[in-house]
Amino acid sequence: MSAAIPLPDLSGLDSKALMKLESEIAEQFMGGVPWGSVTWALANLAVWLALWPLTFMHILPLWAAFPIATACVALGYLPSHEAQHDIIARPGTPLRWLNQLIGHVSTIPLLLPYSVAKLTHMEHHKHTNHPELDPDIHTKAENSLQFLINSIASRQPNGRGNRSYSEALARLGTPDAMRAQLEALAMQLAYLAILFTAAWTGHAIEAALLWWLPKHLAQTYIGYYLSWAPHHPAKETGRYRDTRGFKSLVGNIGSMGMQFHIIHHLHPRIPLMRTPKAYWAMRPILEARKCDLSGL
Amino acid sequence: MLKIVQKFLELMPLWFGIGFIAPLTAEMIKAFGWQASLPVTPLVAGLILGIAWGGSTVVRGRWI
Repeated sequence: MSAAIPLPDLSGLDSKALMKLESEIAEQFMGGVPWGSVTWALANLAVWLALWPLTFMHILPLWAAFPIATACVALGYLPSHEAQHDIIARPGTPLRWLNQLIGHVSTIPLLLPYSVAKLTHMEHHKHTNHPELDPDIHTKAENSLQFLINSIASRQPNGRGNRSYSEALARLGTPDAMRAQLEALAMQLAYLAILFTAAWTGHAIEAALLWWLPKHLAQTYIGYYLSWAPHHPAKETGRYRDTRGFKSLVGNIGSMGMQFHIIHHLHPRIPLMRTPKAYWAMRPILEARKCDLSGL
Repeated sequence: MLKIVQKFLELMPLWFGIGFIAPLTAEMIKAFGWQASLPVTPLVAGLILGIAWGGSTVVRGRWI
């Protein structure tokens, strides 16, 4: 891990001066196109799509395709997350189309329309850990086992997870939010039509192991590392209290970079792959702000 | 029209039971070689399970 960049003595700085220093550091890590995320998104989707003909034609055995499909579905979220924050290209810039393309295509396997993801994620940032207004608050749990139980319960037809995004969109009540709800419905119906068609034409096990089960496993994994772990115990709100740094048992790559999610909440325009370095550069300020860094 | 769509969506677990669980169960019965021990064909067994599970989910609001 990188060592923190030497900073001046922070003990004499007031809140405004700390904020200025924090912003100056954050600026160093922003800008440019995160080509790693762009490549990741397109390659990931291509691999997942390729699994279908490869298994249907018995070129790749299902036992091998299943874990690859699960990884692909789970890995699809973060490039879209970069697009949700306009990190790939800002509105009005020449590569804006690429930002929107990545946003739209990378979460197809996860069955999450870009419009829904973006609108609800902005609400999550605005109301992190709020018991009613944070659309991701349903992942709150006392411990990992309770998270798993809640995660399964929240995906039942009457579960909270199923309702939280549609309720957030209904609260927004804008034409964009209404359209996002329709897009979610259309995507869900298209998914079911594909599953049913595959199943009734003799490919039920392939559909189950390439999409249905990977999607559930990926939703659990994403909920755990992108929501539960960085916001645990999710009892406080406020810029320096609603997100924490944490040490993951599966390392930074295994937790998809979420050990440093606190940096994302403080400065959402820093690309994912630069958050570790930004964390180490900013760590003394986070300590001065008494953030929960959980030994990281 | 809206009421018909709403009713259709409320019954989604039942459609899922018929559309996915039934053929998936039938394929699994065949893959594991269990058809000989069943009094019905794999597809009928799948439909019985899919309709029963999907139907009870519509009533209870949860799969498990």
